[in-house]
Amino acid sequence: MTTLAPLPFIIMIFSAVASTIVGLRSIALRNKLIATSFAVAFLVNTYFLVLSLERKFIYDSLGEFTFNAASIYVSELVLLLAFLGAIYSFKYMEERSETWLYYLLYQLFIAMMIGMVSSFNILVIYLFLESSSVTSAILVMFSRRRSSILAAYRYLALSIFGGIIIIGGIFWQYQLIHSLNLAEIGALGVGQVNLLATIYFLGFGVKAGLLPFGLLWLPQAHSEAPIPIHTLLSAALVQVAAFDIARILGSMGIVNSYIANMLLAVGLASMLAGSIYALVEAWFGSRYTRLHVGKKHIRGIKRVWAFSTISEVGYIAVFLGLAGTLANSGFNSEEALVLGFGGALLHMYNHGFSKSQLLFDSGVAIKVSHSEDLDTMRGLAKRLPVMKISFAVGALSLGLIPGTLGVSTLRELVFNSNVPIITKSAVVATAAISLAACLSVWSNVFFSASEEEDNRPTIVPMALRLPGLLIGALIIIFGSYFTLEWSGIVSTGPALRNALRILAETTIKARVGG
Amino acid sequence: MRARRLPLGISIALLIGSSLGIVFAETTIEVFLCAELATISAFYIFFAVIIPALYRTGMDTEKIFLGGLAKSPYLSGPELFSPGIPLISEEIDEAWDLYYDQTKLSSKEKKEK
Repeated sequence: MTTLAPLPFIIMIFSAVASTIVGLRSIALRNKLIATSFAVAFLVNTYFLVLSLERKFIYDSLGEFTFNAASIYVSELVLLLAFLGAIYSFKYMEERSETWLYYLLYQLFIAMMIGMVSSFNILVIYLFLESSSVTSAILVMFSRRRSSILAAYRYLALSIFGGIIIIGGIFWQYQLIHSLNLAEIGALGVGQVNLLATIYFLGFGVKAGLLPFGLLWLPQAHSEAPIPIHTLLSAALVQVAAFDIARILGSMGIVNSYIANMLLAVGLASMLAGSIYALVEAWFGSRYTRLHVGKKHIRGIKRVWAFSTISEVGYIAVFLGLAGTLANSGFNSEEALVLGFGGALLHMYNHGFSKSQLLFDSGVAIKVSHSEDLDTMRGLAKRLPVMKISFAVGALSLGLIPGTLGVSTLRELVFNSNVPIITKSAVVATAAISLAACLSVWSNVFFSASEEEDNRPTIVPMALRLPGLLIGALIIIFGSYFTLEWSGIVSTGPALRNALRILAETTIKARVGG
Repeated sequence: MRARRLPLGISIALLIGSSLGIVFAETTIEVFLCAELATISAFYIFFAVIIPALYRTGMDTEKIFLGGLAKSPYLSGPELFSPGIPLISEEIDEAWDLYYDQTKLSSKEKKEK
């Protein structure tokens, strides 16, 4: 280790243990320690992200870890959401008695996600994938409903199924090339690469929530988890798994048309199916969408966001597939990499921000209305006057509306002449359906008629209000910047493109040009 | 409770050990060892969850063979076969079991449900 780049991972592990011990004496001190650990880890990571985008930091190795620009970029999203989620949890989980276990697993879960994106060794990635399943599955059960136990069981069962597929691939890879390093897969023949790509895509696709296996566990596990955990699962974990897909399949060569077509087909199917499911759930509920573990049918607000997550991961797969498709159709392969992988990395932030914003605000709406069922969550506009606006920001961003962070995806996928028309049409349809689902939830929660007599504004604790507002502000700030840059009002020169190039290249290689 | 705590503690310690082990792993065998430790932990958690998840959560006590008794034994159907939440020493939140807080939702809304 030559720098402090691995520090966020180490901080999370040690803070998990230290905060548990401190929590035996004082809850307040424990919470301060957790908040400080997240703040320090986030700031250190931000410092290295800035350095790496300026090419002042190339990469750092620690054992089997490799910390480079792309891994630090994804860790940044994880750490930001985890930091805000921890602050949110201090209030959201304060009435619970087993919080020491909650925070221990919470911090370990974050460390595992950082581990998942910080290696080029397939076995190390698998190890952290498995560990993240264990920690997050227990966290799902903190909702304390009977149905949450069933959801955790399904989640673990599917994760182990995915893990077995991956471990099969790992043994085969080792048998073929005597190496676990992703960089050496290129030495294999095309047929072997294609089969190995299919195995890893299936295994990691389960975790990423892609069709078909994602539907079997994701809507249940995500919607049964407490709000801060649902946020991390939806806005961070599935994207971390998608990043691993990008890293593994990208290492096999982006010009491989079989891999590109596989990503494109599954991505398009997930994108469309997820958004349609979300809309049906928002309008008609689980009676029609099924895939429900509860005792009775509901129109679950969290289920809408869970289905929408499947759709958003589909966008990432489409971006990755496009890189290969374009590279095969005579497009400069370096430019194709930037468009596909850079676009996917940008979309991770769009989805991460908008989904976490919607979930943080949904959590407050659930607390105020004492319900997760849209049939009984009504007319909160007067009781949550600020939230009715911030909620709309997340909804618009998910619908790829200019002025929000969603504009980057709109620009790269819809207003890009190199993207095939069929892909464009699917993206437009998905964005429209997602927007309809989000706005349907928004109008239901805030503007439908309420039986409630007390319509005075509810005082929401700052810890519950701040995360959603902060993320909403970031969506607007970055969204405005991208919109102005697209319209030519603001010029960034080649800076943005160079940053995307560094991120795209370091997704599949340890260093730029390496 | 303590009987449940110890395996969970060992399981989490294995996870932490395997994660930190990667920092020091130098050979492929050592990496495999770390992965194996994490897998053991995953399987323990999986089996700890699977049993309560598959357990039936209620039954009709009338269907119990009564052995000639005139009335059913003094048993509560919903509670008889309801194990608690695995690994977490908290009770199942009956109030939120139907996705809304039955103790706080207005009576009119409850009726509608």
